[in-house]
Amino acid sequence: MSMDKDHLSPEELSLSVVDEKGLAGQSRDHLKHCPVCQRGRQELVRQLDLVGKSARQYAPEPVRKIVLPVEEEQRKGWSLSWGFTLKLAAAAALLVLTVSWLVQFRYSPEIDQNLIAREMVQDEKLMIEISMLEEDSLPASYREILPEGASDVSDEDIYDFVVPIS
Amino acid sequence: MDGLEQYDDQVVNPDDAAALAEAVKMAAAGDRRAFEGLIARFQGDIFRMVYYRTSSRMDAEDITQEIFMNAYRGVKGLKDPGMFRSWLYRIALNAVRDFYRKKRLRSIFTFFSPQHDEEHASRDDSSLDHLEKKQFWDRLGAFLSRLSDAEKEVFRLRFLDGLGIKEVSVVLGKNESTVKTHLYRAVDKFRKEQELCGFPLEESL
Repeated sequence: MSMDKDHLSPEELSLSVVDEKGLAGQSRDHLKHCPVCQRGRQELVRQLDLVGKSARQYAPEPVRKIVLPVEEEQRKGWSLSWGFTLKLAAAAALLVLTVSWLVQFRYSPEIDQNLIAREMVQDEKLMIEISMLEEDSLPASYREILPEGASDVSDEDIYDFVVPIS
Repeated sequence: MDGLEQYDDQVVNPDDAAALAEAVKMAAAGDRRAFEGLIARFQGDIFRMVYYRTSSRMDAEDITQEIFMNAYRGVKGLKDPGMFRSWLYRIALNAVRDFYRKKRLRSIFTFFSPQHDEEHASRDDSSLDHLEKKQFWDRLGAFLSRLSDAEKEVFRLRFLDGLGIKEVSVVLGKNESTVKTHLYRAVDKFRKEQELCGFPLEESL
């Protein structure tokens, strides 16, 4: 059998670059001893290596500095003030609720209506008194001293009777 | 030199891994300076990872900031400090996916989708550099467009971002054999189509 016949196929050369153990035992043995196959393999490896090196050479370098998040201690400080703010907000909400409940209780529409009704009754009484005074402004005790049957006597007559004009 | 070992060398070496795990432990315990050390170490890698997928420097800067903010908030919950890199890339990949989801959503409400954020070649470059960069990204873009989404992502994570297969499997949440299958298909397409896409590249690095 000639040496050429035993040379690795191009596909086997590709496989040897990826996974030499993946080659059949006979081919692996051949590769170990055949300078022709070793050169073929090395050339393929060199080309692949050159692709990697060229990519690295032709790629730019990063210029921007990586910025990390703020320190944990600072974050803790923030979280404390957030906690405090939260508590403050809860207290404020509670205060608002309490005040609004009290206001609701004190000035409920029902209570307001009762108050208005009472005030209306008092106003009405006052208006009646005013009307009565308009009709007859003399106190009732003066009426008692008038002679009987003098019901249509005017206020002026009574004044003349009580305090005669000389 | 064995190619696989060569790639695995790009993965964090054991000494660095121990130091990294220690820094991650300290950051997880609330040590801000330890996390700033992790940023200093990974910002470039994560920025490039995002840039490879967005082709926009500004978007890459914004998304990288977001990724490290998310990592800072979540590092306390990371159980295995040794998985930090995979975990960070997973956050990054999710952030990129999120970016594209939002972008798609925005495009529904706009009449045109801006294509001018493809800014692989900076305006500050000399015309030769500009041309080289443009050629490279065009070739890579042409090749990646021939891959399925799964193959594309696995290829990027392995060969552009330099992650090991195990890390890729953690980042994608897929088992290693699935990752190897996608990667094999991608590498085989690369072998077949590299010249078609303008590769091989001339080694001038």
